[in-house]
Amino acid sequence: MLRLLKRIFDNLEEYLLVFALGSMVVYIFMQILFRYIFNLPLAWSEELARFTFVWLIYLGASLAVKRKRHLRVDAALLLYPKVIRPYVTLLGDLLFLFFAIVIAKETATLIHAITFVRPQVSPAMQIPMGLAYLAVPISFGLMIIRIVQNIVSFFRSNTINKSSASVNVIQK
Amino acid sequence: MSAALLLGGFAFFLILHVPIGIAIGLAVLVFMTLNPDVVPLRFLAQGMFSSVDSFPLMAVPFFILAGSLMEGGGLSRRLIRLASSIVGSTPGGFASVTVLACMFFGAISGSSPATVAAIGSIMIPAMVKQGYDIKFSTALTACAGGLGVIIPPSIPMVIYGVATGASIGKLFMGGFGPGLVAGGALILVALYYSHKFGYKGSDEKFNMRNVITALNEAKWALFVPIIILGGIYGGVFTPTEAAVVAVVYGLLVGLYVYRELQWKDVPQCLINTALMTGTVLIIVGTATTLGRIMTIEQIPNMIVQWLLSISQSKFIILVIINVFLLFVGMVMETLAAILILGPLLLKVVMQLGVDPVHFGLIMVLNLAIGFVTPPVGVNLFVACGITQVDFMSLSRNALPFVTALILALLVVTFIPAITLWLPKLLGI
Repeated sequence: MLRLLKRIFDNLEEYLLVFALGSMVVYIFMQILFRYIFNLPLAWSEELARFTFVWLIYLGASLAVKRKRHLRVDAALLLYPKVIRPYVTLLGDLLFLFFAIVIAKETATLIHAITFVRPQVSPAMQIPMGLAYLAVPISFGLMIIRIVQNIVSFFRSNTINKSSASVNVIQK
Repeated sequence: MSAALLLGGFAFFLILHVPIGIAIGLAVLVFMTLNPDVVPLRFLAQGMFSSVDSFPLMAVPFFILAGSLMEGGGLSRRLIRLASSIVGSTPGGFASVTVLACMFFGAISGSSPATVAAIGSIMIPAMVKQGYDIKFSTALTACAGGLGVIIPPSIPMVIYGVATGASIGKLFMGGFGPGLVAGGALILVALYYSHKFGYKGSDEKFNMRNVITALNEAKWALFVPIIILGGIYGGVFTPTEAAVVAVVYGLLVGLYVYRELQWKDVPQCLINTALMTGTVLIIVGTATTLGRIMTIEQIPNMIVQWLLSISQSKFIILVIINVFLLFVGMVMETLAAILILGPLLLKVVMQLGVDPVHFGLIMVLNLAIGFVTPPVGVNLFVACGITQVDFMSLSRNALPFVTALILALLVVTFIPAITLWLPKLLGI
């Protein structure tokens, strides 16, 4: 059971992203079909696809953290000696972590304001805008978890490398 | 002062190896903390949602997905057969086939690395088998793959259109002329080297019947540009809807007509698309806010004043901008460069009377060159992945082709009509 939960959590982005992108294709394709074949333009399809799109982008960004695929100026690393390059990237990740925390916190504050202080609803579907905005703090929250996981595994593999190096020395 | 703070902060975080989109966000954050009266922090939080809550921008993941489905669906192989039946028998034929096939594939896909992967995985082994040098073949394919973004549809054009407000439809049509110029330049260089090294064409003689057979086989692939461009120009659908139609069409043809795609491959295509979308479009979330602050602080005007103090000539300023963009293309992923610099530089050149669509094509051509220049050359990486040629010698072999592309860029820059004749002819 625990193992199943861990597998789901480890692949959370993948499941959600397949669903998000797949459903976006369906919404927009339906929009075209209804307009031309049934002569019945849909009101909700574009808005729902747009809100799903925001999820797609930021969950995709979380997946990119997990797979270490974010776009960085790698040429900048040439400025540093080889040994410290991994630590520069680590510093970059810590700054990313800081940014993710600020954005998660700020968007949560914003959602609080447009839900309870001055309620806003979306034009087409009439759902609370706070619900649509949730994509940002939740995805950045997930990114925070993934960055911390990466940092932990960075230090872990570093100590393993060092200890295995010392084992080699002893064996020699 | 604020320009130095924003752009200097951005550069500072890039040097600390922070991801590009996040580096922009941090620079904005620093600026906002020091100048809370100009823009409050809430502005950035709101921008993270509102700037990507955009229907036109949604064309990006759909075009990526369509390209990925069509690559797996056997459409590329049929386009290559068609190109081969037309120019395969000429001397240096295989090199010309590669460029022509990239142009065809560019017309069904909006991505440049996808074009390299789709055409290169078939054409490079074929060229090597015919006795072409493996480094030459790999370099040629990497460069020709750039045509994928110049010939419409094109993901960078969508990004440029969204970032600057230029018409995506017009940009697509504007791509045909520059695409032909760049493709022609590559074929000329390829033919010169083929002649020099004695590379031959295929043994099959040119035969109209072969062309017709290949045309018939490839017809399902050739419908894609007709549906996309015809649909947009006929006012049947928006570019985003056209991209969705391409996705559904590519899926159906791959699954049921050519039968080379299977349902079980689809989730992987979706995940890869989402990954690319996340890495590129997170930059939109922060770059839009950066752009707004720069406008508030009148930074584009300052750049115009500075450039005009160097020279009053439109062409000299365009050359300066081109050199600058080529340099940026070397070190930065180029979609990111379009997002950040597109709106800024367009404001600059529009004051000199440059057409937004023309400037868009200048930027996209720069991007196509950035794809094949080290150290950040995505096409080179993809091509290296196919043939295992080492990166540095591949970069050297790409040099003649890069030179040809730079000449094409100059021609396109100084003759606006190459870009603008087709949109004008169609009256859009």
